[in-house]
Amino acid sequence: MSTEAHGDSHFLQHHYDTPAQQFNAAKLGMWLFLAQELLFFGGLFVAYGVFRSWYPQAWVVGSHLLDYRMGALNTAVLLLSSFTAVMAVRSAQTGNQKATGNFLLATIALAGVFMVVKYFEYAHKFEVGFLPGSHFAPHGVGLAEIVEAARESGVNGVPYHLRTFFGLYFVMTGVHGLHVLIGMFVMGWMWNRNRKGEFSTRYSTPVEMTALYWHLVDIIWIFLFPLLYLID
Amino acid sequence: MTVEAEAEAAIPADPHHIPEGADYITHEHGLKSWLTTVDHKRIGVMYLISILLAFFAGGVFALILRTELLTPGKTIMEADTYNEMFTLHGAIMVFLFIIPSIPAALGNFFLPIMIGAKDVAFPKLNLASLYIYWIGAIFTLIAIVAGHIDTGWTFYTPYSMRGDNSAVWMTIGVFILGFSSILTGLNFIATVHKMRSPGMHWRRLPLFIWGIYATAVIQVLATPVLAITLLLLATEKIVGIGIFDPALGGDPVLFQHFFWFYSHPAVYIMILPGMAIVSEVIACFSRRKVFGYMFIAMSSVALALLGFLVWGHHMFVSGQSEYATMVFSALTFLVAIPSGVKIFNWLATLYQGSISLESPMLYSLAFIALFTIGGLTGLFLGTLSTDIHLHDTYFVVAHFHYVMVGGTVFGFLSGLHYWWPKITGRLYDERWARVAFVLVFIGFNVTFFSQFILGSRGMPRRYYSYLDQFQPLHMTSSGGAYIIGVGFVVMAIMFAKSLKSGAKAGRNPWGSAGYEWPHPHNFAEQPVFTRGPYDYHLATERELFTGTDEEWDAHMAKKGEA
Amino acid sequence: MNQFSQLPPQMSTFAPDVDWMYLFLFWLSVASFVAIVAVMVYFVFKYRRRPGVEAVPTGHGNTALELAWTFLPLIVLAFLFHEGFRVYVQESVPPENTVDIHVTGKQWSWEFTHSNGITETNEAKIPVHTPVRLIMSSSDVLHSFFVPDFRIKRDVVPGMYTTLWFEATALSTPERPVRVFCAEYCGALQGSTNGNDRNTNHSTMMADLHIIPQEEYATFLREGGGPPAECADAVDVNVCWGQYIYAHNGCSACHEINGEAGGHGPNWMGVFGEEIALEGGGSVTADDAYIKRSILDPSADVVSGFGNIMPPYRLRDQEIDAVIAFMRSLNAQ
Ligand code: HEA
Ligand code: HEA
Ligand code: HEC
Ligand code: CUA
Ligand SMILES: [Cu+2]
Repeated sequence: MSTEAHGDSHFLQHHYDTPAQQFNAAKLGMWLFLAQELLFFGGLFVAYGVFRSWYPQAWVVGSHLLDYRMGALNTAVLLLSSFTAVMAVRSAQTGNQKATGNFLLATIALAGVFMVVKYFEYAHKFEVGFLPGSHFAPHGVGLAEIVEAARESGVNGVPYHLRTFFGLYFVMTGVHGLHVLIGMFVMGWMWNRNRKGEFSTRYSTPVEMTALYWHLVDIIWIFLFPLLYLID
Repeated sequence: MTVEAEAEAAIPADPHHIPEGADYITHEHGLKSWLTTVDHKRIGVMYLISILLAFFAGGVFALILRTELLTPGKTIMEADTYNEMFTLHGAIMVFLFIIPSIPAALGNFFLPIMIGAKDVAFPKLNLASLYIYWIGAIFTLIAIVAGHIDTGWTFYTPYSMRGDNSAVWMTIGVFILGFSSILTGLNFIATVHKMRSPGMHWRRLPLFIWGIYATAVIQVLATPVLAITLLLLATEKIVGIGIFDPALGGDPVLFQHFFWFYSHPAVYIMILPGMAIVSEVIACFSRRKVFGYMFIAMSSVALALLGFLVWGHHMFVSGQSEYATMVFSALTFLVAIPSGVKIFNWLATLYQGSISLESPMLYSLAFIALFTIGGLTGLFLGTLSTDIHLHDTYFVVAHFHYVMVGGTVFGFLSGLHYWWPKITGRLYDERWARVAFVLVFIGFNVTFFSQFILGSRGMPRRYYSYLDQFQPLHMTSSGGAYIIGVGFVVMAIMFAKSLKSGAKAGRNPWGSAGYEWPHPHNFAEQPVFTRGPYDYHLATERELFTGTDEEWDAHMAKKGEA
Repeated sequence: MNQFSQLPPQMSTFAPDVDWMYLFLFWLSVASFVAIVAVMVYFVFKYRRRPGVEAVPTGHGNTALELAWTFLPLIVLAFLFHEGFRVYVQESVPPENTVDIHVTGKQWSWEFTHSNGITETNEAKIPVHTPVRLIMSSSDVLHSFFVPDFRIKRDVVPGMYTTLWFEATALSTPERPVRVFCAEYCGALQGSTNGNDRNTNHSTMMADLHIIPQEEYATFLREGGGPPAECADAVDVNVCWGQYIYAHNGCSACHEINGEAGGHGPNWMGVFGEEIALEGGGSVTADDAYIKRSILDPSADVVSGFGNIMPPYRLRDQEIDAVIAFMRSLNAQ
């Protein structure tokens, strides 16, 4: 059992026999984690589906109250960030340390853009009183928006369950936003590890796993966007 | 470079290498070495201590419950205190004790050893799960100390929306505990898939591993749904999002669907590991490979999958649609099939065996009898017409204690007695172990059999006071609970004595052919398995030798002379 | 009740069907359990470890046997499902022409409103041999309407109507009315000191069903309910009726009548005609109008020193008059 033969085998943890085994285990672990995440969000999607079928009018009006342009912008931003994440993995695999760092930074920056756009969306909703559940109290511009949205969607009056729609809107996008923040944090950590030269052509597993996670965050948004903003 | 050569060359030195003569307990000292360890054995032991503490707390609450129920009216406490007591009893027993019990404690210790791995796939994550468990436990403690948590372990809305915020602490605590459970499951699945030694193909996997593996699948796939449910519940309580609270247009029945979507599969998180232990112990004490090995293995997987489809049987009277009720009832019956398959195969394993009745075997045989009662009464509850009458009565309480205590706890105790010498290196006093067994077994049946009768006669559960006519049965039940309590005290003293002054255990005190026994701890070198874990006829004499190493040397010396 | 019977008396048309199924399952379970344990004990004894006797290796199992014990139980299970479902369908589909009664569950009492608008609390008159349909809802948390003698149960959910039907098969006696329990946990008053009293928490949320002849129920629907029979020859029928309401409608859970302190609501002795200080300042005179308001809409005037916890009670004018008469009689003592 000698370690001298491979200078970079320090990344191989003691309880694995080969780097391939270690990589495969990490990958399986990550996929399981993603499966877990899907079920976690799955609960929210089920709640969405149930309430949508019970209170269709509230859902129609609700989706008209969300700004699909902001949503679309954020979708584009996230898609782009998935691309930069892939590039970061590729650079890491080919041993291009500098590019890896830059792509990670680009991904973090795009995630930041996403959060800023979300901030503006939230700020507006808070301002006009589109708050979840018991706090739902539209006023001023908010009321005008509701009237407009109801007219557009051919609904009479203000559906009572708009409060539920916004309740779910905030929970779903909030939990997703939390995942974006966690992703930014992890990518920052990866950036630092990359800076210290921990990754190489032989070992880039952490970057790959981070990217997998980031794709999941992306995919979930791809579902959230049409469900919340588009279909009516 | 060839693959083999690369594999050979890449094997690194083990930083946790345990020197000759020392073991995993003594090779490092001090609290810090324990709290920062990534050794699965030490983590398993820390889990074991934690869950035993939780069991003790839950058991004390149970005795308080039973004491209050000695008389129809007030015996020692008021109604709202009683409600807190059964909530804490149920929640602690389920979330802090039984779910992590076998997988996280015994599973952690034995899973890697049994498949010839040096550790689980992600040792640091393993330690993290333990810390997450502790953090969750602290939140639960806060709820207990700071507030008034009286929702029942099911947290049904809208009742749980009322009252003080201790329900939020509790839900957050359980939420965190859920993540501990998910990470443990994830770790085990990756370990079983990727860390098996050569020769350990799926058809040789010990049945304990099959059971833990099936459990892990449920842990990973069901627990996140509980997590999101509890998150929604806490948010509902804090900001009122209007999902579960009917006052805001929400639906309390939806909460029940969410809750049981997790909590029914969770009952298989509880029972599968118990069954897994029974399969090991029956094989060992019959000196025979488990009959229908593949059927037992596959029935675990079948239970794990079917378990996801029957949650609605907790809601037959909740106001869910008649159609849903029909489907859930039909599917519920299917679950009986794989459970029956296990029981029949265990019996067939005894046939033509060489059976000895040490304490682990006693607990396993008791498991078979008690789980059969618990399972068969589950059929009363799956049958629609009878469930309407029995739902939320003591019949249900008796049913689930028969499966959870008679099943899982007995399975756990079987495993604890079985592997105690391996974990601690010491033997315990078999006579006292049997005394404790008899007390717990009798006490258990007295406690809970009377509850079946109470329930059939119409005594609802979660009742602080009851009609006078029920008093004799309630007193019987309480009496039984005290007997269980005495039994556990005897057991605790017996184990404490073993730790302090027990005789040194040999490598394989039960003479098992299981892989976890013949080697002092983890395998020093990566093993290559050439026989199955129950192949008694292929195991060497050295492997099956029950005495200590010195005795073996003496034995060989004698042989040499002869 | 028969000391050894596992099940409560059969008082509805469903009960025999349910009990048949229960007993079938019971004997099936006894048979399976005895068989399993007998085989187990026999093997443990027969193949106990003895010197010189080795275990026979298991070999490759027996597929026919495995398939048999996998699929044969299915037949039994299919039968169980079918029978259970058959009775369940009967229980969920009420016949035409039922007598309808609205039920409201609230912490911690049951309110029954008959088709003539009369509301009874924690007790209800039920005609015998008549399909009765209950239309149920809750005004706070979940409850569950459970009548062991009828073998029926259904959750009572806020914001939703659930229904339940049954047909009573025998008259009840005043000593042994048909008892309704609450089977869904619904809490207890915090800091309560009288947890065994009726209607103070989940475990005492009970009601009595009085199964009466059809003609009697018809008369009740036509003419409304008067004072209870036991007040027929009281000195003052109204005072007696008021006391009956006090004891049977759950007032006693919170109100004392002996002038001593304690209880969750004001003591009734010495209230009538007095000046009552209200929470948040001000006061009122406890006249007929005030008492009536306090019962129908308790949160309108909350007595100083008490919480706004009394649920509104839908008593009829005559009943309120009776309560007032009873309260006055307390002052006279
Ligand atoms: C370890 C946990 C565990 C296990 C393994 C089970 C196993 C089963 N449970 Fe149980 N159950 C609980 C824990 C568990 N349960 C808990 C905690 C609750 C209450 C929660 C609460 O409300 O607080 C509950 C409640 C519960 C209900 C809801 C009752 C109600 O509230 O009205 C139902 C209804 O269908 C049910 C059914 C079953 C069935 C059919 C099985 C089956 O898996 C059993 C299968 C086994 C057998 C059947 C025996 C062996 C088989 C044979 C010998 C084959 C041959 C036999 C025949 C063909 C007859 N259970
Ligand atoms: C794993 C789960 C588990 C376990 C083990 C138990 C164990 C016991 N349970 Fe419990 N129980 C539940 C899970 C469990 N229970 C759940 C989920 C509920 C529903 C709650 C709800 O309605 O919300 C419930 C409800 C419940 C009720 C119904 C309350 C009601 O509806 O009003 C009752 C009443 O008798 C009861 C009794 C008991 C008793 C007497 C034991 C005994 O078996 C306990 C025996 C244990 C001891 C007496 C501990 C003694 C230990 C020592 C003395 C030291 C030993 C130390 C070492 C070994 C280190 N339980
Ligand atoms: C859950 C507890 C509770 C129950 C049950 C209850 N009450 Fe009350 N009641 C109160 C409380 C508390 C007050 C004082 C606060 C208020 O006025 O609302 C009160 C006040 C009153 C008053 C005004 C008395 C005064 O001193 O001014 C009357 C009259 C009354 N209740 C009648 C009844 C009747 C009749 C019933 C039964 C049919 C009943 N209550 C049941 C708690 C209860
Ligand atoms: Cu109402 Cu329990
Ligand atoms: Cu279940």
